[in-house]
Amino acid sequence: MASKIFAEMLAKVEPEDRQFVQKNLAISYQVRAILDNHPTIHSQKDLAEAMGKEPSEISKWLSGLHNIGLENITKMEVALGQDIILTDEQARERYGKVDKESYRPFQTIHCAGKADQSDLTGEVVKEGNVKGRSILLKSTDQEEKGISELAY
Amino acid sequence: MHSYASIEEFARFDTVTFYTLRGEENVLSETDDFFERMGKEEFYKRQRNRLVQWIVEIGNDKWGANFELFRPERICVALPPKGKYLDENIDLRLYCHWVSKNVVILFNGGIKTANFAQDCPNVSYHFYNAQGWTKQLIEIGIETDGPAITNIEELYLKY
Repeated sequence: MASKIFAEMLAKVEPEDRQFVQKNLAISYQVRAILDNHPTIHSQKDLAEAMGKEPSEISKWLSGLHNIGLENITKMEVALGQDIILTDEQARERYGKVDKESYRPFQTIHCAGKADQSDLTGEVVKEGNVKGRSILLKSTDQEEKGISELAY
Repeated sequence: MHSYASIEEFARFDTVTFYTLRGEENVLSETDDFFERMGKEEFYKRQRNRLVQWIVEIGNDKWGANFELFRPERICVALPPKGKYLDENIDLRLYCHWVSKNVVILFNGGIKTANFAQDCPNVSYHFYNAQGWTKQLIEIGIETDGPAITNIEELYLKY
């Protein structure tokens, strides 16, 4: 990072704020991906019409910085007839269970109090489909430590 | 007599390189100055955190820095994105010049306290500077190769 001041700012970003922006952007991109393939609702304007909302309100929800809220996400899911977000458990049920002994890649580790470096097993690796540094964390260890919320 | 400013790298991510501007006699770049000042504003800590993270997310976005992720401000842009797209309570403004999906030049900004940037004592100075620098950069012409500016030595601006 060329700017030390920015690097310092980045290091001070609270895990909650980081997660907020990442989750909101992920939801925004998921809605856009659904719109690209939806049989009848192709745009934010179509979605707004289907929900009886103003297009600007939908744009605001999908900005990545707006606090969308579960209620509004649910309304969009109903209008689209599809899930926008799935919990880890729902995803496992829908797409098949993950072997407990298998290793799961994490994009980043934010040790929010529960985990520290000693909790990490495996090694730092470069994954083709994961940006930047990834750390492999054994899923059984992760479950024992109760830190599944760290995965995204 | 004019002083001059040059362009330098600010932060490089997976898909986007952010550049900034630094006056030839200044220790801090324009964007470092912004973040250093905002770092002292404890009340705006959450907004600052989200803006910092927003820059990181744009930088690592697989589709690059889409124009819609910025707020149009006359001939330049600003972060965070357009008013109708975000929580009303985000008052920070960081003015920038969107060059491409892989190259963005960050300038300076502040805490916007008026409806229009021109009327705000905190940001009007930075708003007008950003307009002027963007105009100069457009006139000179920025040449890029992916996330890199290839004619950075030619980008010498009146400051």
